[in-house]
Amino acid sequence: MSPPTTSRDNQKKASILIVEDEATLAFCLEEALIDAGFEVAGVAGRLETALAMIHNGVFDAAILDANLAGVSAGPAASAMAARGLPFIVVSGYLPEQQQTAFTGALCLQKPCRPDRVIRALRSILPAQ
Amino acid sequence: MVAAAAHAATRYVLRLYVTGSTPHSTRAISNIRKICEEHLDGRYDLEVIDISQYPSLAKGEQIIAAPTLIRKLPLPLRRFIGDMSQTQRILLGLDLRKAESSSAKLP
Amino acid sequence: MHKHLSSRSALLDENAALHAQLDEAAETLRAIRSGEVDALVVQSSRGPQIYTLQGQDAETNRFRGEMLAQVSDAIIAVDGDERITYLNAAAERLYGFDGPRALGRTLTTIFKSRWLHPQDEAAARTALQERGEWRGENVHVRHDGHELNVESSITVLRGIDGLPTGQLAVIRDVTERKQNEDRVLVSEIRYRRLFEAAHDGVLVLDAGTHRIIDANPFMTQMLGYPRDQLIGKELFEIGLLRDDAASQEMFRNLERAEQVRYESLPLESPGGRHQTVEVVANLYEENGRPVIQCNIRDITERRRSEEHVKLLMAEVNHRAKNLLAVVQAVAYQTAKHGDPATFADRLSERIGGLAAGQDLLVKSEWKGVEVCELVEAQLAHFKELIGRRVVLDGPPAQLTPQAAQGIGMALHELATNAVKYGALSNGEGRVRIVWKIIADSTPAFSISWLEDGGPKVAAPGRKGFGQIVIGRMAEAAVQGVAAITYGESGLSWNLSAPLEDTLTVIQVAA
Repeated sequence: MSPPTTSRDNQKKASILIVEDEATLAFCLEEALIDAGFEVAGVAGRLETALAMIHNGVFDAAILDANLAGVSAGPAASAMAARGLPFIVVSGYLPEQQQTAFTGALCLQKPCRPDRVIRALRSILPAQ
Repeated sequence: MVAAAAHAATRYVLRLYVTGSTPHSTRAISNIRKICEEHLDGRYDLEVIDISQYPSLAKGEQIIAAPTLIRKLPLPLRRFIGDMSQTQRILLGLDLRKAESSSAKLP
Repeated sequence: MHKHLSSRSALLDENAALHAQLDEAAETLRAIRSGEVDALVVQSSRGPQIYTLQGQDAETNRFRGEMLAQVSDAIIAVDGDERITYLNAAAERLYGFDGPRALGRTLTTIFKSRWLHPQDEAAARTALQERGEWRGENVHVRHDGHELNVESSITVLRGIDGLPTGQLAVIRDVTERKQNEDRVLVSEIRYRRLFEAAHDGVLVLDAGTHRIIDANPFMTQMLGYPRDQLIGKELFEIGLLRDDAASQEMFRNLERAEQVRYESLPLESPGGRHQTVEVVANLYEENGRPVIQCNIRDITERRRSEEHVKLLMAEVNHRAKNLLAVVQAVAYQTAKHGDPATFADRLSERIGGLAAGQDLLVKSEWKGVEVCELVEAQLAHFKELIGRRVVLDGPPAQLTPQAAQGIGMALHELATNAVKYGALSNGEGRVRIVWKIIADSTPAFSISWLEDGGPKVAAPGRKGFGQIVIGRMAEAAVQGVAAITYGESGLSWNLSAPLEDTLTVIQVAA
């Protein structure tokens, strides 16, 4: 991973990891994040890719899809928590259907407008 | 023979007075029933009256001892005392064996 | 003369009658003297008085008679010829025959015996001969045909000389009891069968000691204990309730409500098998003794299938929400990158493309989609061209749901583009859709869209959503590489990806 880039006004942009198996959604999120002044550290569509990125990557927060090609993203949430990094969960499951690995995390229900995701992300990042 | 023919049609009404199940009474019942069945088949009414249970029933017929058999019909009224074991005498008394019995008894 | 004659004959008759009376009186005296009578009757002012002549007075005799008349058992005495010499009131009632008619008649006039077992009759006769008494059960068929189940006690009567003079029978009607016994027996057999064959566990507990007093075979099967190891145990000792406290609570509730129901309890057998059971306990009285019946149903399977349904519901919900999210994203992208005038048409076309892919996934229960079917579904609008201007060429290959979604959307964009600007926009252009499995050190899947004979094409100046779909998004869906060339003869598109990210496991194995 490349070192975090700095913006022209010298303010460090928050770097976000997108974990989403649905290419369309990942692309949309990426666009929305960039438009909102974030930096995208990477996009992972599979759990193994996501875990590798969480272990080695340099970023400030993550957006996790709860289900990655039929596999729970729970381990990714645990890895994030282990690194002490904040994350939000975007999921098609109802809160009561949610797996315990996401307990305590900020969860958004799909479908979710990009601006909501941005707002949620800002709420978990430390204030600049 | 005429008399015998008449007997065959005559209906007998008999009444036996006994005192419960005392020895002579029970024997009298058995004996008279046997006699009736053998000699009066189908043409008799035998009523057994236990005067030890109903003493007042002994009043009308002037019963003085038990067992006593009364032949109410055919008339005249006849009365026999004892356990009815002397079959020949009873038959004679009931007019059931005039000729034979007398000839048999009196050689 | 005639009158004289008649009065003479009357006198003779009267004389004969008097003789007869004298004879009778003499006979009476003789009979009394020779001991042929049992009793004398003396007419008194209070009515006839009976004096028995064998040391018993009439009072004693009557007392006995009354006593026998009062007993509820039938009593019949017979002489050596089986002629009835005595029967009490109960016997008259039992056989429907009044005393005067019955006395002196043989026993068979009022009933005939039927033996329950063929050997009984001989056994009774032997017992009477050898021991002077017999006690047992048989059937008495009354003169009117009515049958009675009776229990008889027969004693041989003996005279002073010790010789048998007859028999005395005390008979008890047990017909009703017998019928009840039969009913109870039938009921016992029926309910025993239910108990034995039930596919629910049944336990019977003593409500006082809380210990098991009976358990059916299914229960022993569920628990894996033999029956004798269950008897005497408490529920918590066989793992049905957590502990003594839970057990005490159940019994308290039972006393209040008479029924306690546990929807779901864990039950572990000694073999370590985990089961989920439903328990219904009822408090009953059994002959005045309170007992508790517990019906235990193994609902492990039911629970498992309920869990499965719950999981499926969550899955369906997740997929539906995901699809809505995709539709939402497609709408954003269409609005952002496209011409506002064609927004509605473009969006509904793209949703149509998504729906076609979805149909295939549902049809295969989300296992995967055949490439051939996916292509045909996305080209459904020009079905008539397939096999002529549109040629499909490739082996059977099943795409994973993710690959099907990404490739499906790409095919949709390619087809839309070909109809508008490419090989399918004129009368003679052709499209070949070719896919193959490349057996290599890292096996790969490759699919190409090759246009030929269409108008000359050039790379678009501004990247629209369509370009993103066939490029980056297709790559992301299969972790692959997309290549697009705008040649003289038309557009060429290729997507290559690792086999394991594209095809279902079954397909790789095949």
